[in-house]
Amino acid sequence: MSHAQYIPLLIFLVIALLFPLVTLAIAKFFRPAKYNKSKLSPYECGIEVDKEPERNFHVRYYVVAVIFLIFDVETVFLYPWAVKYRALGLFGFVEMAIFLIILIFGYVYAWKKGALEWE
Amino acid sequence: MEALVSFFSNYMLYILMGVTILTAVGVVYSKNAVHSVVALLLTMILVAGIYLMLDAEFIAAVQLLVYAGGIIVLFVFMLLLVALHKDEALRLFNTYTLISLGLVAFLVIMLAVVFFGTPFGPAPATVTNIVKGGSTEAVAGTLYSAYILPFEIASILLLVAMVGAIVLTKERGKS
Repeated sequence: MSHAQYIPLLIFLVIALLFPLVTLAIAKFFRPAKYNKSKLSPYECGIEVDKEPERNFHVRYYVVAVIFLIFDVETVFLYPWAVKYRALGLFGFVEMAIFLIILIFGYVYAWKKGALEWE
Repeated sequence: MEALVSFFSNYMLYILMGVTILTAVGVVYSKNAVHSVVALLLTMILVAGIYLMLDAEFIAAVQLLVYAGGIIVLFVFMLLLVALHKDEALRLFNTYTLISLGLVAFLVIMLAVVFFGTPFGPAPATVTNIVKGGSTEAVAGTLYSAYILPFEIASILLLVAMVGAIVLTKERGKS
């Protein structure tokens, strides 16, 4: 039960967290704090916004994210399988082949339904 | 250095658990939904830290990859999709205080029953041996032999999730 190897990781994390916080704190200390309404608008210069957009965000971004996540999880399953590949042998190969074929069905489905296309 | 190492191995797990609870509370109590998501991201990363301290390196890596890297993106997209600022007039907080208190008390009692009913002790030799061989090898050795059926069902679960997302978001009326 030796976790000493993770101490550099902890130090790295602490520095990574402190750096932006310290920078922001120093900036807050030195900069002038003047309130201006145009600072809060989405675009400080350019055409004035006169109405809300009809839709906020197209749902296709979400589909792309879901498909990414599913193949992300698939890759996660591939990793330990690859580590123990030799020990698992042919049985492991067939097992992973079935797993992948089931997911490739989903991939083909997404392709056929045009979920991978942007327009 | 010695003192740091011993402090690290003895107390880091508890520090991580405590901070995780704080960030999880932050998810619930943030007024701004974006702050909630950031707190959720911190919670996920800290949970990965807890897994790391419990010698489950593989699970920690998966936690970072899938939860902190993927699920959080879905939450951010969800925020962009629902446009919370348009629903500011609605009350988004439920006020079933009495019922929730009862349910939480019930949950705590059930957890306590399980906790005090479990005979804790030193881990069996098999667990120690598996952990010694490495967390990833341990996952592979059990997942691809003893738990083959759940593993294959997981792929069907992923397939269902993907087909469901595509069917739900497909624009109707177009072929």
